[in-house]
Amino acid sequence: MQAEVNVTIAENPGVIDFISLTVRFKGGAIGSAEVLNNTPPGYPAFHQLDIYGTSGAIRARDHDLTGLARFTDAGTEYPAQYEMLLHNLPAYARELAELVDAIRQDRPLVMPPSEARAALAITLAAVRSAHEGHAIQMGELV
Amino acid sequence: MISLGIIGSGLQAQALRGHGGPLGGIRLVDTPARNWRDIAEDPVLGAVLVDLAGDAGLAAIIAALTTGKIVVCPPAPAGTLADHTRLRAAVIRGGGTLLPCGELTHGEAARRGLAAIADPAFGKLTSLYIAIRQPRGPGDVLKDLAPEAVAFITAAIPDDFSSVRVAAGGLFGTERDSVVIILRSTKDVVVTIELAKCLPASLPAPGLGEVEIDAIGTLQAIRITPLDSAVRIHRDDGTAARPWLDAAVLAMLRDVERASSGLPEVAGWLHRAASNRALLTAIRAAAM
Repeated sequence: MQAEVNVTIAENPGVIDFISLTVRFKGGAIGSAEVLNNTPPGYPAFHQLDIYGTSGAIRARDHDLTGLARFTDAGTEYPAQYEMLLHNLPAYARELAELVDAIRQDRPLVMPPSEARAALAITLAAVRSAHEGHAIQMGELV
Repeated sequence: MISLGIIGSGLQAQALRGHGGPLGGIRLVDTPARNWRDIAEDPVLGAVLVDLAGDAGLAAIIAALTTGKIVVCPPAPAGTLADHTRLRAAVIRGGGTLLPCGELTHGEAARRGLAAIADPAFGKLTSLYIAIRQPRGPGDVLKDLAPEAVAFITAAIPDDFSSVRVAAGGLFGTERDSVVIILRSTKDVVVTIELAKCLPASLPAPGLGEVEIDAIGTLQAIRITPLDSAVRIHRDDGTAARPWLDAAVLAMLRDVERASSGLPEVAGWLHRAASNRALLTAIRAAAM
């Protein structure tokens, strides 16, 4: 994990409003992410996801209003198009419904708590990398 | 003097038809009443702009290439590997030259992006993201793509860079085809660079690449998305889009003149000999 953070809004001293990070997965893949909240109010790119694989690529971009685009050597498919990528309004209701259903059906959650913990670990590693100025091995945080 | 015909009525064709200025050594022959096949096969024409969507557009490009013409077309002339094979066969068969505006789009994106960043209305640059992606294929991205990105960054940010972080690997082949670079300038501008030879054949088109630029300033943010041919400027009071279709067409015509005169092809406005060798060296060293 390697990262840089920034404080760009003068009125918010010490409040990080930008982070750029890159991760190397155990399998060798490379990931990159930028998170920022210092754009003008009308900025349309809330979320953007690109994944490139050996047999194709998928993209999901708010500003395209295309939930999913799948590119392969044979052509392009658009299996999902929404008004917005992030369905904010039903998101929490769906989360709670999943919890209730898992309890009622006595089954594991689709998104187990370990995933939330992993996301937090990556975030902490990114901030630490930025502050210490070097790469962080995820094992160092355990 | 080379004669250039127009097929189709897309935005680039409209821009060319509406352009009032001189076209250098190019004589424009606009005959909208003729069908595309007649224009594509017209022996009088040395070049055509094909701005026609779908199968007919591809067929027109192939017909023109087969008759040896220089063909200017939008960035995505082929949607599949089979289409790409047909295009290559047409070039070999007829000796034509295909000039899709892939590299051109990069050049225009960089030029327009730098102009927007330099505008006082943009405010102070706080972060810059640039991605250059090409189809999967041979070659080291730090050798093939980094110079263009570094040239852009050097033009946008006059500072030195105090921190260089690099993650690189060969994810699609045996060579180094993917890299993420994070830079911090001495004045705290954070730059993220993604370079990859990762695109499947259909994205955006065989043999072409794409560029994406995202710059955040204290007063504005700009986005240039792949193949969009426009700078979008986001302010507190709204968004403005500045397309560059007309400029792009004119730049393509310069390529037509070069191709017709037999002059060696020159790279775009961002020539690949990057001016900031120190930064390039630091990036390559960090990738080791």
